[in-house]
Amino acid sequence: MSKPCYIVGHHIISSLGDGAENFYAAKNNITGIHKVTDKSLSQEPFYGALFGDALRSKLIAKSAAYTLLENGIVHCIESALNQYPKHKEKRGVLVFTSTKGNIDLLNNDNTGNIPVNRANLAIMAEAINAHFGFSNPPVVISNACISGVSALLTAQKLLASQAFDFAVVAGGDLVSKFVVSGFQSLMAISETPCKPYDKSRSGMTPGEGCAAAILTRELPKGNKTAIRIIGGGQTNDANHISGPSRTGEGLVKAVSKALAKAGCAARDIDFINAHGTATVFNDEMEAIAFNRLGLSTTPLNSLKGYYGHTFAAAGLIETIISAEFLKQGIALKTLGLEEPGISKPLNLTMENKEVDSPKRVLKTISGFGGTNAAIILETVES
Amino acid sequence: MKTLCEISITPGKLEVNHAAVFQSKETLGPAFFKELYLEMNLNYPKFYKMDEISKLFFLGVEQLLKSGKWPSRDGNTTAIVAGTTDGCLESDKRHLANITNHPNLPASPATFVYTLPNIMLGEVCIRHRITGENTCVITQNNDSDFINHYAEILLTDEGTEFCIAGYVNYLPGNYICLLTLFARDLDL
Repeated sequence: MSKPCYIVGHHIISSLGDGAENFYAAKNNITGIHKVTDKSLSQEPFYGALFGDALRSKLIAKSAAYTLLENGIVHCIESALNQYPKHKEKRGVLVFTSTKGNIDLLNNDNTGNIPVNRANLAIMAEAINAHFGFSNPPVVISNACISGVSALLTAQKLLASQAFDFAVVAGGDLVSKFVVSGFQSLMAISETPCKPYDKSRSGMTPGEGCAAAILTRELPKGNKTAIRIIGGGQTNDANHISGPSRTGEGLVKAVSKALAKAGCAARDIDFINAHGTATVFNDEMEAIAFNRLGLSTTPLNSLKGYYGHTFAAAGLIETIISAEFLKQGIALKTLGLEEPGISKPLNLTMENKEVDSPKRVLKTISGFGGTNAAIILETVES
Repeated sequence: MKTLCEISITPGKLEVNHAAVFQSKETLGPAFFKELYLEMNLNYPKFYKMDEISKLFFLGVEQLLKSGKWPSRDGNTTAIVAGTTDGCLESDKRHLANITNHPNLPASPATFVYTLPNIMLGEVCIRHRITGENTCVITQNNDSDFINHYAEILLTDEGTEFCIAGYVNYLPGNYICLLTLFARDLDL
């Protein structure tokens, strides 16, 4: 079994807004996905989940020394740290993650004042680390779409190895021409807002997001209820670099590992927040994997219909949202899903669903490079 | 943990356990990688589709697993942690050039899929049926202390017997691949 750690603070920003706005919108099944006609992102209109104008302006105004993405991540870290006042007297580490970071700095038409070398994730992370005056060097994880969960699990391992008292797990990604053109070339972007697990699903919707979570080794005194990470697993399909395995083998292994680490069985999981990108192959692979795992009757949702696929932020945002709704006993509706179209049954949430005395949630995610990750959260009362 | 083997690939040179096993006048990456591939007698045509850093990492792991006598049935219990500074920067630039120079044409999916630094780990997993944890870490320099520390954490996990760990970086004109094969120390 693995040594648990606690999530004692967090903040997210997405197309649904800043911080609490996300939880309000999600609970009311509001989507942040809209038609994007910005030609600097794509010649053809597409559906995307971009930061709203108010949030974008707020982030741009924050500091001219940082890019929009950096300001977004700094904003999340500031807010998350405020929820953990003891951080000043403790040994901490920043575990940073992004897939494409400041990729737009490499554009030839970039005339901003931010040095081009900040397109390098290590240098970007160092700038943010220095902003907060953290004394340890940051740890930068870039594991494609599983990055967010990967960073949480790396932080958990580093905390368990006693090297640090707390970790700031933070990161994010933007929707750039770079990624839109790439996913368009793979025919992976949906022509409608994405429809996870639906029989007419035809691809994912790219989204923007940043998030930060504070993880601690000990539950701070005075915290009445908390969420803790009790297990995780990370695996590779060893099958294909840009498509999921047909058998779900890698995901089955990741979830099995997470359950073993948490000392749980499948029946101990009260709900599942899966990846559900709404690509034909991903959702089908998940249906097969969850059936193999004996999890086909456990309430399951995908949150991609709310704010699209936010790449490195996805695992962080979805873990945080699932943790918050675990406390409230709600499995959110799978927005965008009308009629399931997968070959094996899943207990998909067609509406917000109340879960009886919820204790544990499983979050899973898969990505390019054949990566899979699973993380199990538990509510604790002291 | 114990060290089973170390390899390094630097311009025109392949070393195993600090002794040169192959040297070439060819020091430029693309040409040297092809020479190494042929020298290793691999017969794995997918190699030619990879971007340069993936080729470099792939070749390094081939030599590491062979020289380290890695039992090939143990893909389930093998993990990988790789550090890199520039990661997939060359593929990023190639994809950016494609979409900038040909705005009315679709981008190349074959280039785009390599614009993630962990893809090189995925290539190695496919080749050797490795299904354990893969982690790609971005560092400003070769941070072997952190990588080895992380390998040690991975090897405390009961399901992990072997760990491929190291640093790999590719820029035109300069490249390096330093890898170690660690095994769980059963004496502990």
